[in-house]
Amino acid sequence: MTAIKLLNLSKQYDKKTVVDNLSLEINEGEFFALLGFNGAGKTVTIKMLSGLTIPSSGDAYIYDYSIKNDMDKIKSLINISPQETAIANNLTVSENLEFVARIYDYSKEDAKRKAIELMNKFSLTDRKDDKAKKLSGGFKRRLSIAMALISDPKILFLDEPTLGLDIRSRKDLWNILLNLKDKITIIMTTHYLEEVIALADKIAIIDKGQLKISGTLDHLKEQTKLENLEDILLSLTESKENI
Amino acid sequence: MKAIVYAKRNLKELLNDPLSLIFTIGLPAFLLVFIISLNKSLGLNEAFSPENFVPSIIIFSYSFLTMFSAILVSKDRSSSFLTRMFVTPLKPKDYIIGYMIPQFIIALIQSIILYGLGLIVGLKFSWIILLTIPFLLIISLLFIGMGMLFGSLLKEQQVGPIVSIVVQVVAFLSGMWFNLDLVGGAFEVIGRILPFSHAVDLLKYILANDFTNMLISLLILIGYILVINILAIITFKKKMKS
Repeated sequence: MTAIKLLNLSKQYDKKTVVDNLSLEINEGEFFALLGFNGAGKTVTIKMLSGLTIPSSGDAYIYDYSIKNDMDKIKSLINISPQETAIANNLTVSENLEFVARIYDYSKEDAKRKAIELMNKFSLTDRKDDKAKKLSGGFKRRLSIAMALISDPKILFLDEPTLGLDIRSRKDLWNILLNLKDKITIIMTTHYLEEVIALADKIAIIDKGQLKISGTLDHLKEQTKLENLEDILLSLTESKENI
Repeated sequence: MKAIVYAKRNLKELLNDPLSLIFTIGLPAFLLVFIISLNKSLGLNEAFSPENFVPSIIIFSYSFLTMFSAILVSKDRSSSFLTRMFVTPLKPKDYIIGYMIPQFIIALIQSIILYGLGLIVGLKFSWIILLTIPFLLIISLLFIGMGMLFGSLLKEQQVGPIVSIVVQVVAFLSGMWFNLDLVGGAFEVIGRILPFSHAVDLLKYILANDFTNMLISLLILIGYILVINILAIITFKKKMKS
């Protein structure tokens, strides 16, 4: 079943095109990676799909709901963990989680139950009474993703989830994300190729807002006749000198 | 309901920040006790008598509401917290109510504590003091609206320095430290144009049973409150869209 369908989705800021006629289909339960260099249009694509910015032209459908016309309905189906860690710093770990659950109309008891469940899943239970600002970068990112999952979204957008984390924190987060595979549809942007290889079912490479290729890693290899993702990415995107 | 959930989060953010408590309650409480006690011993100035200084210090304490609400809103903007919130089913009104309710509660706490301390250091108890509470909440809307406006407009690093100027303006042009009539000139004119002296006067007129002058100050303030809050709401909504 198709979870997300992009149809000629475009976005211009002033006269600059940052997303250019993007058309894609993402199936339910897929872990989908949007790959590209800085300014490729990955984050803007996620912002359009999550209702944070309005497309200049084209449309996208999330379970048949248009992002242009049905954003209120879409909001109950999606959640996001933004690029910068988006947590309430002076609230404790459990308060952060319960707060987001309550925004999604969970009762107090259900919000508590969901928070406990997610703290267990994300190994945050020992830190439940710590203020969020006291957590390390890795734990903050875990909390941020847990906050995005507490609403039980069908689709989760992860914008560079491991940016700035050390290797151990990154690997720990990968394990958590691997456990989510097949349970919900995940769209992740990242710069880290090893992250894409470890996590993604399908990959889309974007350059200057345009889709260069999409499919499984094997499909990408077959199409480009190249053996590794780094070579594939470099071959499909313009060199810095040309930008 | 969602607005209340958001308001609870904002209240916790503010109350869990020791700096905000020190400035919104601690500093005004210290100044109130210190200045009135000093005035009692030295007989410095009529502006420092309990009847004059307690209303002034309450209004002064509200200027820190502007500072900390502006910091909260701008921090939420810069930290992507609001990005996360904008994906939730919260509506613009939920954010605005959610940011305002905690400030109301803090304004009420400030007023009760400062009146309480005022009574201890010489303010004569009168039932009219209780009558000023709803008016204080109206006045607090001026400072809360300014906080929303500055928080929506300014970056996190800009809020502190710029809102500090507001705090200074409130201190010097509200008639808190000296009677504006005695100073005269441009200082008095600017003080009378700005809303802060009218906020202090409103309280003084209520405490002095001068209801005619009270009404004039109230009308001027309501005008300012409407303009500033409408501007704050428009600016916040505009930032939401961008």
